Amino acid sequence: MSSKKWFFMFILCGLLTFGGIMVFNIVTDPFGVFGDHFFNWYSYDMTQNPRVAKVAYIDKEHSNYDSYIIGCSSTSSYPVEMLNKYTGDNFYNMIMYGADIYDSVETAKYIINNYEVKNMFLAVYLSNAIQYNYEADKLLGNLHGKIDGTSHVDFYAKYLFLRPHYGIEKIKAKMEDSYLQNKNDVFNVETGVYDKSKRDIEPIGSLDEYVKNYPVFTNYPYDRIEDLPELDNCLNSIRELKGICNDRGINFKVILTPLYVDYAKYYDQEDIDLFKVKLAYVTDFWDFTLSSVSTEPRYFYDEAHFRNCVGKMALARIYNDDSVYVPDDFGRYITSENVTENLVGYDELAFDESNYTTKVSILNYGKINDFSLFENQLKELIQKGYEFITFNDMQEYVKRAGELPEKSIVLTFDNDNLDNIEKIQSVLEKNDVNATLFVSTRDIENGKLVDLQEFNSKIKKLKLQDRLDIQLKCDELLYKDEDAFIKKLRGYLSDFSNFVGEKAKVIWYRNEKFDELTEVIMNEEGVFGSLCDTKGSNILVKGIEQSLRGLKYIDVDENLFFLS
Amino acid sequence: MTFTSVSFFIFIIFTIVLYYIVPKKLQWIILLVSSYIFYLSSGVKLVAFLLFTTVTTFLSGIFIGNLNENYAIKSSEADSQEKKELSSRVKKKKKVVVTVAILLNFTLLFFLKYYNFTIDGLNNLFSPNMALPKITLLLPLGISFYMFQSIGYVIDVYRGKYAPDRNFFKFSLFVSFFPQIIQGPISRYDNLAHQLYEEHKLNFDNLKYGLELLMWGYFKKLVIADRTVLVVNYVFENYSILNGTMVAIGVMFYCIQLYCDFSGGIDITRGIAKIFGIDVVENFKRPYYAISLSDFWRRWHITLGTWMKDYLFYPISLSKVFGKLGKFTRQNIGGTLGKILPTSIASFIVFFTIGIWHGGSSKYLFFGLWNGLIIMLSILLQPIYKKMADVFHINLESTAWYIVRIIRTTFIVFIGRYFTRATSLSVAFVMLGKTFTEFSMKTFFNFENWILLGLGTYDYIVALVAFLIVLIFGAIEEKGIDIRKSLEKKNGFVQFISILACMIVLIAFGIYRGDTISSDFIYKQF
Repeated sequence: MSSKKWFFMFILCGLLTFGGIMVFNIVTDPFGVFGDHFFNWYSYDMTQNPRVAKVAYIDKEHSNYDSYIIGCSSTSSYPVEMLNKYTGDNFYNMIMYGADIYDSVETAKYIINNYEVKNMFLAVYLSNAIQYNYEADKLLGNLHGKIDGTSHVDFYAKYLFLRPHYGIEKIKAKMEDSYLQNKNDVFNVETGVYDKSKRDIEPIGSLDEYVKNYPVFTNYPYDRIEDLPELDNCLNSIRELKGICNDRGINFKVILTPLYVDYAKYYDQEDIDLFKVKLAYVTDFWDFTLSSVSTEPRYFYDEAHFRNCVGKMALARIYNDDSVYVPDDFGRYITSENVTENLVGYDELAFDESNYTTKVSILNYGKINDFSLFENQLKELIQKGYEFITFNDMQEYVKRAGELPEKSIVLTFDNDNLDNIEKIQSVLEKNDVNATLFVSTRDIENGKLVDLQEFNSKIKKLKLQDRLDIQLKCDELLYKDEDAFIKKLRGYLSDFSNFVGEKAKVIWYRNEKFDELTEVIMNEEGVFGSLCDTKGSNILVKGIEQSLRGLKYIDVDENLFFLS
Repeated sequence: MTFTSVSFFIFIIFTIVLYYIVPKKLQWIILLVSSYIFYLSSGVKLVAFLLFTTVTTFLSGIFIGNLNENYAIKSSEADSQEKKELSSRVKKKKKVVVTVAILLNFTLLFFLKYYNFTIDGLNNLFSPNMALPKITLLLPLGISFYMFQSIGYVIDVYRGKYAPDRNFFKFSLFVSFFPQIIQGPISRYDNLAHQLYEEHKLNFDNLKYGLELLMWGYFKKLVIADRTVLVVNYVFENYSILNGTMVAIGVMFYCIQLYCDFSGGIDITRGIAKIFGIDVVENFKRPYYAISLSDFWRRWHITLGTWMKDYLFYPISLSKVFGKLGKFTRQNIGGTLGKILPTSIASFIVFFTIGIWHGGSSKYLFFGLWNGLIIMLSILLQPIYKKMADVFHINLESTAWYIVRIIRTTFIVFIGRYFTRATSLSVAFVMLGKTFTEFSMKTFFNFENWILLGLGTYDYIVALVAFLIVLIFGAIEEKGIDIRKSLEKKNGFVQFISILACMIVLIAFGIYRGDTISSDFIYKQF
């Protein structure tokens, strides 16, 4: 074969190969730069590179948003729903993991220059003074070409000629995708935050159990940070963004995010103070860095990331929302005038959980045969100073500033007691005690719904609905087919609310292990708590709604004597 | 702009098209402009260094050329006595010019590459009484390559090998020719310059060969070197927490990475040049089939070796001092040793210099010492080897002995690599110590340990299979078989499939991170 022929064959092969690659990359679009028209899976794209995919997403969906909160990964813990509620605007959370202030400000500038913006909130982290304009990876950590000034040719060519590995990985991830959030799609596309559906249902109780699950808090890595080399660059960028926002009439807020105390100790106290003082002379800001929250590991996922509940507290503080629990010392509005008097040293903070935790025991009765013994037991407990609360009271405690009695008990009845409802009612009424009765999914499953409806009318007749809270017990929740299972669960809940007249708030896994998928579905359906088949008492932590998940209980019967 | 960036591809396609559509007499100007654009893309200030070398060596060549011409004119009218005197005067003047050119350039090179290292040494030596300040210097890309190439030209003109180039712009192209400016090879003026200035018609044979070289180069760089870099970086950064076997695995992959990175880069250089119709000299000849360390250096970075041979080894060995030394050793030591001692000392100096050429650090000094010592000893001990072979009845022509020599050479090279990659000399010794004291075959062959070094099973398989292909191709070529020609004999379909397969392999198995690869070419730093 002549060289000429060979050359044209080479060109043909090149066209075939590169054409094929281009088509493949446009179709799979693993970074979302071409609009992800075929997969429409921005959550995956954002997971690969949030800096690029989020800008591509906003380019496409900017009409749905008019306000933005931007910053590194901890920014995800500021819930967009609350921002929308407080401002009446439509926020998008532009969290980009590992973002420094350069990334945040340049992205914010791009959004402001191209789209309508009412609010621009900048979440600032102490580490922003250490690293500036750092690109960890040219594909996974780079900014969008529209932002960093890369030529359009270079930028799009990079994604057109990606090696197929990335597209193949996306296809594989799509095939393995499940209802539950996984490592391939960590973002909630519509709000821009991390999808924390699994973390939102994670049971959190005593500190001992928590640190066992999160050993980082017991063996905390110590990594001394000697200097803030990028402080001036960081502040200059913030100043620039503030100026732009002021010029355009955009509401600009800076939030200095909460720090876990041991993380704060990486830094010299003088450096932390210097950061705040210098920042105060650039802009007013909300300082959430150091407070009693900083000393409580349960408010943090790890050394650098605080939980959503802390983000909620911060927003509630900014917008004066009394309906959310916020510790008194959490959050200060800092100006150049008051900055020095509001500096908090990390050595001043001391761990004291007595203000925001309480112990609650749940006593569960199986079938009661002797009601006089049962009544005696109740009287004995009352005599010993116990007070009977409900799951609603527990939720009030966790969510808001409400308090619970020192000796709190939740009384529950198994569905075996359905036939004895009148007798139970009589005892409860006589002793002024509230309780919860569980009805079983098995009853719903076995077509006992008609019986249950009769039972319901009986309750109404007895005017028991205020005294006896009815919730759902999940029996035999085994599944193989995820979709079928989800449908079934939602079916139970729908049947339950038809029967009781309101949605289930607490579920009980009788003889079942804590199940993530069940919890996620229940959470989506408004169920705020769950009982697991684990014996013991519970620690509730204010602000942490997950402390109502996986609750422990104690099985009792009327023959049992309470010794203390 | 690196060879693996999208912008480079666009640049090169544009340059090639322009090169072949402009009038042929303007082709060299296209190459010159492209070369400077390419160099400017790495930093505007750095061009000053390139221009400095170009101007000083160009003017030196002109001065020497003028002296030669004047000598020729004057000597034609002079008698023999006057000729002799004139020749001596001209020689002296030429020597001054060449010395000034070398000093100017090498002083600059020394300053840029070795200043801080020297200051460190002096400060350590006279500590605490001395604390000379260090300075932050930006090392211009490819400075060692283009400077050596230019100095070679001046010396050749001085030696009268060829007349000086009197066109500054053409000479600038010789110094700055973009495919080779970053990491060589170090070309010779008489081999390269005329090709650069010549007019070239579009030749499909050149295109074909050039594209083949490009694909082969990118295969080595993207599929092997940039894959193994992860293991190498991990091991050299975390040597302190790894056992000796893991360290050895890391160094082994460094040997693979370095060869594929450097030779891959050279193949790309040669491929691009070939597309312009220019033959750039080969820099590698299957070094991992070398049977001795000196054979290795005849196969590895060949142009540096030959440069050193022509401009350092010969001047040293033919110098008066070495002449006297040779006489002395022959008279006082006698025998074979007396004869070869001066040569081995000259070799030692050359390889020591090669070590220093790599950079200003004690690890490179030691690398040079290691190579120089081994080569010197191998020359000195040659008679003993022969006697030992006779005693142990080793057939020096047998395949087994050939393989033993390859393994032995590879091992010696392997040891040397600790010094070129470790962050410092002390780290290199620590790593070497770990390898010798903690190495275990069981750990080495436990693949689960390899996974701990930052590369997945898939990547190990790809890297090792690809390197095996490189070795197999090398073995075939060692046997004198030209793979290209063998493939040319195959029918069109086979060739089509082979091209397509190569492209798919490059795209599917190449490591691409962003618009450039994960690591730049290693030799770019030198």
